[in-house]
Amino acid sequence: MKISIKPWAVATSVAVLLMLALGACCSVPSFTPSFWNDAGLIQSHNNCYNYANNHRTDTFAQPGRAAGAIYAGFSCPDVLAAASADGIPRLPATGTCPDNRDKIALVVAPGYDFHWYRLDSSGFWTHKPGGTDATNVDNSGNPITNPETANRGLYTDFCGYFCACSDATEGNGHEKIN
Amino acid sequence: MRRSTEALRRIARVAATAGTAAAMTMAFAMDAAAEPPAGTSGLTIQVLIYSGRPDPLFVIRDPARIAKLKQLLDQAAPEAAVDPAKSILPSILGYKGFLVENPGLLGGLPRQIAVYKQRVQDGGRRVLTDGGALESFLVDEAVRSKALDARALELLRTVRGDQGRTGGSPPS
Repeated sequence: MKISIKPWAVATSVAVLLMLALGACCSVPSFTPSFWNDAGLIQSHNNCYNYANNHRTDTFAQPGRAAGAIYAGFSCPDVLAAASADGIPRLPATGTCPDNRDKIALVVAPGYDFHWYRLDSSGFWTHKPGGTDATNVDNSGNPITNPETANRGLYTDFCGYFCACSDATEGNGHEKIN
Repeated sequence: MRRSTEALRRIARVAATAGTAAAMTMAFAMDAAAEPPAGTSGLTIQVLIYSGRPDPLFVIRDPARIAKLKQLLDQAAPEAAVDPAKSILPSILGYKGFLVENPGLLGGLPRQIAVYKQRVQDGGRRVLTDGGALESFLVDEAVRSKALDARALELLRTVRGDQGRTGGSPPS
């Protein structure tokens, strides 16, 4: 029996293997709250870190946990270090994320908690406070043009920006978080 | 020919690895979505106060406390002006209410009750108003259960505007 290998099959296989080896392409997401706001498993088991990275894990992801280096406290330095341990790069000095990565922002309620925002393709920032709805407004009900000046309640410390490898398909971001 | 066979073998190995990873992910997700701590033998109450870190949970198993909650729910009045399709829980940073999970349908209560300030919403999405009695009851139960650490309690009281209180009310 003669087995023939089609060139297109080899090319496809090589492309798949390259994608697996090199990692997937990043893209900036759009605001798609219906994916997250299902009043069920997705909404209750995915938090601001899941949402900002656009990565559904159903584990209420915590910065650093995937890397075995979860934050030591609720301060900017602690959570910044944890997110860096997850492999998410900080925003470079140019102020622009490279490689079509998405800009995300970290804030902290000192001693209590942390919170993340993401920049959508619309140019507005959106977020998901804990297990409640993903939303495009701040605590005053205003659209978020700048997370540094948005009404953030007790999350008073602005920590900085990262560049996440998000995806155009909601929930399919590529950062390794858990 | 030998090279092609090896390439196919590699693809099969990658596919098998991906399949294993997917199965592990699914198992983890199922674990994360497991029943709340009380299971069907009590009410699991989540204090919606954080965004990034997990919210505190506590459990009510005492039939008398469950009956009290049912009594308070029965005393609540329908609120027609609110869209029942929308959650009453606000999507804000800070205190966002309580979520009562009752998978065992204990005490004649619905499977899920959301409580925020004067509003209550049951699993059937009915919106009721009760002047804040249910929320006060749940705050007291949270204090009694020691589910909240001192800082979380301070945060809850600050956002609810009752900083003057120093502890839970006595059992009724």
